[in-house]
Amino acid sequence: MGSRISAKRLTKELTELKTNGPPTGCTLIQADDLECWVVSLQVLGESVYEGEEFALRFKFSSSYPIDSPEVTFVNCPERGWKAPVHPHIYTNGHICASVLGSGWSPVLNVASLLLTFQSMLASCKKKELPPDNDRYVRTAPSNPKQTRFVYHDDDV
Amino acid sequence: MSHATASTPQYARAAASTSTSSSPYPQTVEEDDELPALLDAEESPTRAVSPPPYSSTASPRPLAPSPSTSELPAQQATRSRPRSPPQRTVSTLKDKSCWICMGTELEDEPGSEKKWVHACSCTLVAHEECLLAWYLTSSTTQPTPSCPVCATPYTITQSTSPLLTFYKRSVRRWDKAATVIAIGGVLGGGWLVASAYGAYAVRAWAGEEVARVLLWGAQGDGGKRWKYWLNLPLIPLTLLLSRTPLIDSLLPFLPLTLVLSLSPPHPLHSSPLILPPLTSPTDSLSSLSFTFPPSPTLTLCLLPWARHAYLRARRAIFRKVLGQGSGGEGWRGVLQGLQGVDELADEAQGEGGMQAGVGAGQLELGVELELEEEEAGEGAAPNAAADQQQQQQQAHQPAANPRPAMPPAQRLRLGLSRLTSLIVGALLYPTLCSLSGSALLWLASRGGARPSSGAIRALRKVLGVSALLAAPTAAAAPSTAMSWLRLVTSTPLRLGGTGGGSEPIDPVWLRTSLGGAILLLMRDGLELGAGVLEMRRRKSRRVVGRELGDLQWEEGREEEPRVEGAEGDEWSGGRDETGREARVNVGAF
Repeated sequence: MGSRISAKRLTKELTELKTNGPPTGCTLIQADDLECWVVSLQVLGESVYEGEEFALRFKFSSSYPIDSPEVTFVNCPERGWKAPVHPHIYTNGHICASVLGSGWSPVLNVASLLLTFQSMLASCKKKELPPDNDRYVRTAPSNPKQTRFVYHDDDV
Repeated sequence: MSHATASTPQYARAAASTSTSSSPYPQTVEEDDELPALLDAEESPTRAVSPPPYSSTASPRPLAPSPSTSELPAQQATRSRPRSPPQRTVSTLKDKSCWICMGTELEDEPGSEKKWVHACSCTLVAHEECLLAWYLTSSTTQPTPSCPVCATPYTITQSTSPLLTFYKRSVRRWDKAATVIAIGGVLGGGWLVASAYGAYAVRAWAGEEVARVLLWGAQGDGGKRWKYWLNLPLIPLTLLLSRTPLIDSLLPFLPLTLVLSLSPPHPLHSSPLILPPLTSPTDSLSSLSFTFPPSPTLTLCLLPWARHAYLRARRAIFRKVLGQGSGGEGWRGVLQGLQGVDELADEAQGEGGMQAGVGAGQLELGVELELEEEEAGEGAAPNAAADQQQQQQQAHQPAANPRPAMPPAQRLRLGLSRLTSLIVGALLYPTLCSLSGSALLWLASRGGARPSSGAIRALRKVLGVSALLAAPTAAAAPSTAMSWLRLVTSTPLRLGGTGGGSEPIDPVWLRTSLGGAILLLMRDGLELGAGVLEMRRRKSRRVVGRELGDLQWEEGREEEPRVEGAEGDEWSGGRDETGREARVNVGAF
């Protein structure tokens, strides 16, 4: 049943994003299929990331929305995309956020995730890498969902 | 079929399409489904199950509900509690949209009417199928899966079958029991093997007749022999440990357990089927009085003391012949024995160019013992350092320095094959003793019933077989290599007791012990001889001088470094141009 539900729901979400548009500051870059979408993201208003553009890649498994999507920041020098320097974002694009792990629930969707990450960046006061960035990037699996993150902050 | 209310994670299965009309209120009913492990813990099928004991990580609060759920009619949102009138059910709602798959009622295929549920206090409604799937997933991370918006815990019901519960519980208990059984089986197998070996060792040492009596009782009825069976598995262990100083202090008292377990059986219970009702022959077997030949029990009690005395004497002799530290005692002796491989390897290289090579493939173990403290751990040090170390040792503790008999191997190399041979040797020892005893008997049996040679007569006396060999049946009575066959096939077993007076028991244990002693003497004699030869070899060592050629000394003095290396293992090897003293560590060769 998983893939059918997933396809139905993703189709709906995509239609919604296309008709009503993604949250302000976000642009749907690529959504050719129901497996991998790329959305560009800018932080609105005053923030340490003012003027920068990032891109998020969403990968959906067949058990979406029961299972959370795999969301990473894109490192793509050609398009000028780079993972933001943020205490919860590793340089390989992996994001340490509970909404992508234990905090996920099917009430969330792509649009709400975009809003979440926008506000996560907007609330950042100081550009800092995660303390264990080097070690994590060296050993990280390609899929961040295989990482067991320990969520320190509640206010991200 | 009863229903239990459970707020426990349930197995997500595509819910069978159940009729939605009969239920006044959304209720998730899972008919006869498998019980997941968590639910199996329930004792009574009708009891509500408390949440499983998850580690209490605070369940993260989700973000705001998605905008897509706001399509519900406003009236639905005003509904507060499940106990609402029947007409206000989720089935009467229009324009339902599942908060999980975002599907609406209109999109559901007409044929398969999916059941809708409203399981919390807010406006979220969902397909039962979707909600069950989500329930299962979230139950792995949360102790009580609840609505992500209003945090109302979901309530799940499912049918429980006492039979299924019982089955699953049995399977789990069996899994646990199987582990215990497996471990017990392995231990029991080891015990059995050890017992079998012990029985074999007893037979090899004391002979077939005595072994039978000891193991099966005089009457073949087992009697109180179970105590003895407890002792059997200890025999191989004792044999192995007797090669080490571990049980030196304990060994003399071990046979006492045998003596205690050999308390005389009831003489009245003798079975006429197996044996003629003689007085129990074990009386004579376990007698501790000093008759000749001594009883097996007495012999066994004396053996550890003999071993102790012999080891002392051996050490004294070795020390006298080979110098301090030889004829190793205690752990040093064991380790020296294990190092034998190295010495053999030295011998192989000895005649050619000597090289301080470490034999490849040898297990190198740093063994830290009190005695070895100084040497152990020095292994990898270069020769010069080892040399220095040695000097200090010689200076500080000349008495304890064990150098001459063994190379100053700074590391203890335990040859694996050597270790194996030690173990096998210990376990084969009863067999060898038996063979040696048989050889003694063969010697003693020469010359017929009345040998003319005084030596043979003396040997018969010592072995306690004079009467046996002189008796008419002498030719058949003493056990030889083949005698066990005869003993097994011949009935009844004739055991000469004091009361029967027919035949004395063949004192196999005596000649076995003597044979073993002879073997030991031979082995130690060989070892002593080898030690002497080794010492000579050491003393004969010379460094081969080379032609001077064009080398020039300032003083023009020529030196021929011929050095005697008898006392220590190192000596001054002359001086080179720079005046540094070159030392040669012979011991490392």
